[in-house]
Amino acid sequence: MSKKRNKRSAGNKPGPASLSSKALENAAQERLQQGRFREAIAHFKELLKREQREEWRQGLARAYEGRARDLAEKGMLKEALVMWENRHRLGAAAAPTHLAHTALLLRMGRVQEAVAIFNQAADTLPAGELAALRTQLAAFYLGGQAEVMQGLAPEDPVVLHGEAAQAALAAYCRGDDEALEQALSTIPFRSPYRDGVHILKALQRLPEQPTQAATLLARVPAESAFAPLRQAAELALVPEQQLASRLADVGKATRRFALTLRGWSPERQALFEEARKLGEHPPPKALLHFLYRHRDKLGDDWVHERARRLLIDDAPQSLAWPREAGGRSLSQAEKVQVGAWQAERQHGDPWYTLKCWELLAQHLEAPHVPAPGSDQALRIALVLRRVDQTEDILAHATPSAEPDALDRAVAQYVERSLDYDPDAPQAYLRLIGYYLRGKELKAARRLLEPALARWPENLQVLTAALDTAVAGGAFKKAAGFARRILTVDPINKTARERLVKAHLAHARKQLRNARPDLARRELEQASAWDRANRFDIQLEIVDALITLATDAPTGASALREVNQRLGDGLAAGLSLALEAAAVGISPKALFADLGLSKPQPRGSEDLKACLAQLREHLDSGGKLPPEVTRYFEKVLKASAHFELSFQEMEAACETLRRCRWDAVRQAFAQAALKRWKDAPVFAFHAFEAKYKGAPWYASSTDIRRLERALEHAREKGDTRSTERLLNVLDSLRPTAFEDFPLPPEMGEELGPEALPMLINLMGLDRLLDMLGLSRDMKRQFKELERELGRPALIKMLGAMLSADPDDLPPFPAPRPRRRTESRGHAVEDDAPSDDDDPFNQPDLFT
Amino acid sequence: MSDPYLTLGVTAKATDADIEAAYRAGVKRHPPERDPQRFEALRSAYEALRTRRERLGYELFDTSPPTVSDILDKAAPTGKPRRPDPAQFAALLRGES
Repeated sequence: MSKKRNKRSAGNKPGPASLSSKALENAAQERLQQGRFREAIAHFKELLKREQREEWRQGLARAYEGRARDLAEKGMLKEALVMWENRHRLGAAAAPTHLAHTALLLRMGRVQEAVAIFNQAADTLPAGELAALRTQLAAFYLGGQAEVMQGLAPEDPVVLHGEAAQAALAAYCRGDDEALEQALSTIPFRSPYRDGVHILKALQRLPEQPTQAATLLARVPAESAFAPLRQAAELALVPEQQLASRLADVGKATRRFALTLRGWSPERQALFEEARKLGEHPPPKALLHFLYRHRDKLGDDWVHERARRLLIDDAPQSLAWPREAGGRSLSQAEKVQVGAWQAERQHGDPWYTLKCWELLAQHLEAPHVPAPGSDQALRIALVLRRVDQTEDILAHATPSAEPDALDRAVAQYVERSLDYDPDAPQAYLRLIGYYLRGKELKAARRLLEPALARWPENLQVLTAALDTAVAGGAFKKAAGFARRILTVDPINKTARERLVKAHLAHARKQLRNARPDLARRELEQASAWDRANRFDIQLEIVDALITLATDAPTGASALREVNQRLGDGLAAGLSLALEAAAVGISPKALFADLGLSKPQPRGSEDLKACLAQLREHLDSGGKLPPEVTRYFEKVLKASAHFELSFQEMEAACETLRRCRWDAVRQAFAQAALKRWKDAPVFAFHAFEAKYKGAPWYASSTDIRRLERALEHAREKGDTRSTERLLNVLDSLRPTAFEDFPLPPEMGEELGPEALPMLINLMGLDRLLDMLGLSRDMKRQFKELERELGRPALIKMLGAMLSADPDDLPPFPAPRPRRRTESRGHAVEDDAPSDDDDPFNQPDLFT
Repeated sequence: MSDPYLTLGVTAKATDADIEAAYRAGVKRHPPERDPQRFEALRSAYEALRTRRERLGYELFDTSPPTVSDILDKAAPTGKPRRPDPAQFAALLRGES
């Protein structure tokens, strides 16, 4: 239908003959601009029929030229040549000689015609174009078109230098560099063979001097008749990784030339041409068939191994492909291995992957368990360690309480792998670290023993032994390992410090066991190793405490002196208290015995020193005994008003959070909030410290403050506080009672009858919040209580919780508020969800 | 990753010493300052095969499919650069691309 309409409309359109000359000229120029050369030719021809105007002849020449180019691009060389000939007939004035025309003539073997055009144009063409035409003739002569010479004058440079150029090319091809250089030296710089000379020089330098070769090639202009040679030669310089893609853009002759220069044999080139037909990214099956087609050259085993890697994505169907392609079938173990590869690549489920590798290990173990150290045993060990290697589980995980957790299974496999490959220190170390993180010292020691026996001087193993000893409180052993580390590596600063700490810890232990003599000996050791005097205060205090045990007045005097020297403030008090607690003396009793008053802060510097000391104590893995906490909490709380900068206050809150001194932290955060109103970081600390462990009891005022702080944090781009505040706010949205820690005395059998008690305990607001009711429902419940009293409210709530929604009076259905985090923003999602809907949990209270 | 055995030019039965020798010879031929990409390939191949444990690990866990370049290297390794013959020159100079 549309075709008919088009035809009709085309038929109705006035033809060129019916147009005025002006309109036709406009149409012709328009077609020329649009690249519609065929129509432009018809229009200009019609115009020339009417009048022979020079500008129309030139227009027709341009249209012929455009059409000729179009046809040549489509590979229609004969048709293109007809266009060039038509153009040529228009005369030199309208259509001067064009290089593309002569090139086409030469390419089609019509050499004499090309030479004739050259001779005709020799006097009229500008010098540059004439030189380019000469270069063209020279290139074709060098390319074997000897006929070129026949029509040229004997003094023409193409003829004059032709013999030397041919000699140079022949010398290059046969590898005679001396003859090549001699021939090239006879060709002058302004010769039409100049580009060819650059290329031959570049090719001569190509293998050894690629940079010089590239420079010479760059001298050949892109429009030169020698440019195809330049392009092919440049491909010889392309890095291996880019070669395939670059070769895809060029013709076969260029590829052959370039690949020969790169040292590709004809066999390799043929194979490459065949592989090219498979496409840039050949499908696995096609590539597999290609492999098997050439297995005589590639080798059966290599093909079989590499082909298995092509089966992964399409397994299990693909497992039959090798047989289909004429190869041997896969063994059972090989199939299982393909399955494990697929599990790793596609499933993303470590449990599934673990099971797949386990299955392969079983296949490798059959029919005989291989001897440790053999290749097969090593294969089994590597397979058993694979999931730990890919998921990096043992390096970070803490042993789960569940015996069938993934980390447990991985640890078990890695332990099993040691039977096959005991010569794997990293496997031992990963396991020891893993068990140490879970305080499973027995398991850690079990692995440590063989590791120490096997690698007695391995620093990593010795460090693991030191860690294990410290974790088990075996400080004497720890000191022994630290000493062994220093024997191997005498400048190991960390080991030296750990050795001092181990002796100090052992001295404290001896003092606790009422053995001041042994404590003194340990202290002397610690002192001897502390060459950098990093622990001198601790050493001095412990020394005084040992003296206190044997000679009370002298010890007390020494302790008082230390306290005085350290400033007699909070920092000094904390140092004494920590050491006293470590040897089993209550800080309160010590200060009383020494006749010292309770430590008081001596200013903000003292407070900062005290906090820094706490940080250092925690950093070194120390704990804060309850008696120290009790003794210092109150006095620190009172120091919250001291003038600290924002950063110092923030650091103080973070330290107190690590100490779990929440009352003190709350006081500091509140004091900070007075100075920096609504500062998100302090709002977070104030809230978390106040409701630590039980955020459900938070008042609505505190929650609103927290929400305001969240907004501020987002506005300021404070991502850390945003994240922390969102976590706290999320924890405030319980979706069911099972998430709510009810007071233990309520027991587990809590029913609707417990509602009065819950309302009394937490207030109606919080109970309704906790039930996840909408604002509307909460309002209606409150109105109900106001109008009908609490018994009616309890009855109504009871009806709602006992599950049958039909029994409810016509309140809107309760819609739990759920906070979901989306791109860092809290979203109030009012859509009902079956999981969140309390009506779908009928046994909530039963 | 390309087949490291082919990159180093050693067989699957090569020992630690064979592999180290092949790596050293490769680096001598393609020093990093002259051919950094080739050197990088040699280095990766050497690290993949350096010890028996690594060779078995490669055998067990490498899942990279064979590349066309691997296949060509295995079937007909690249030889020494050669000079094209006059016919190859003529084809290009006569306009056959």
